[in-house]
Amino acid sequence: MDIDVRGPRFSAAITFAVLVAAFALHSVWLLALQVAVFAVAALAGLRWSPYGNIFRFLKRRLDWGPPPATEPEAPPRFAQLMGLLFTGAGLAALLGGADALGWGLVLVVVALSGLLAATGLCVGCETYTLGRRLFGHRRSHA
Amino acid sequence: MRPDLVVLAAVVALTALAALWWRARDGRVRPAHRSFTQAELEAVAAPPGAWTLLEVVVPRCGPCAAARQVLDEVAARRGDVAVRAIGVDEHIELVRAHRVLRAPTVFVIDPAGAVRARAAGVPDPGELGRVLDRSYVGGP
Repeated sequence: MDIDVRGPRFSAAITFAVLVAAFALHSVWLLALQVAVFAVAALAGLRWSPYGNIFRFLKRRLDWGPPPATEPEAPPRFAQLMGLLFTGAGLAALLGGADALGWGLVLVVVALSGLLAATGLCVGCETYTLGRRLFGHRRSHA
Repeated sequence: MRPDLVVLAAVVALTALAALWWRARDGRVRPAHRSFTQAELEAVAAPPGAWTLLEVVVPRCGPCAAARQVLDEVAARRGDVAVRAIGVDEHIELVRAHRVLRAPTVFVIDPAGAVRARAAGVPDPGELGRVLDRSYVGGP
């Protein structure tokens, strides 16, 4: 399934705002909300992503027009999984009393979601080549 | 002011700087001076005696498709420019030799096999066209 490239950028912008607010207000509840959003998008698929649905609703109501480009679902879904791992670990650290570690992990996701929202960079495309150069061997073709 | 808010502001500011840097650099067509060997030219099926726009792609890459569209449009305006795409997996030695870090990466190869320019990200069509124009005027 291919998706509108604007969707992940829109979702990243909301993620950025929610996590900045969670950090500034020291709100574990806001953080937990974001962890839940990541979990739904990563595990159930972007079709179910709460922010993705807000994007599609606004797109229809405000007539944002057809996608400038589409992209495969897998890479942005992987990015949601990475978000889930980092914010989930942050939430666990906070609940375990390790405040500095917990909010530090949140800041990592603040930076990455902000970068994604501002540039629309394709995380999978950026990491694949480096990964292959570091670890890959010539793949045999059966 | 709470010290953690200073940290937050610093992270947001650094993120904004990184985004500006990225946007300034993404898709820019830059001069390059490294040549493809005869074996490499054959491996990527560059037609002998013609210009080649070579794109390095990876699986499930939206920007790679966008870059291909730009290359096809630029090539369509000229008769003697071939467009080729190679996968990172199938050409890992070439990817290493030419220090490709990202996908898509585009090489502008002249008929003699010299790389005249390269771009990482979806290349700017205007810059790509200008590289080809200058090269045509000056000859290979």
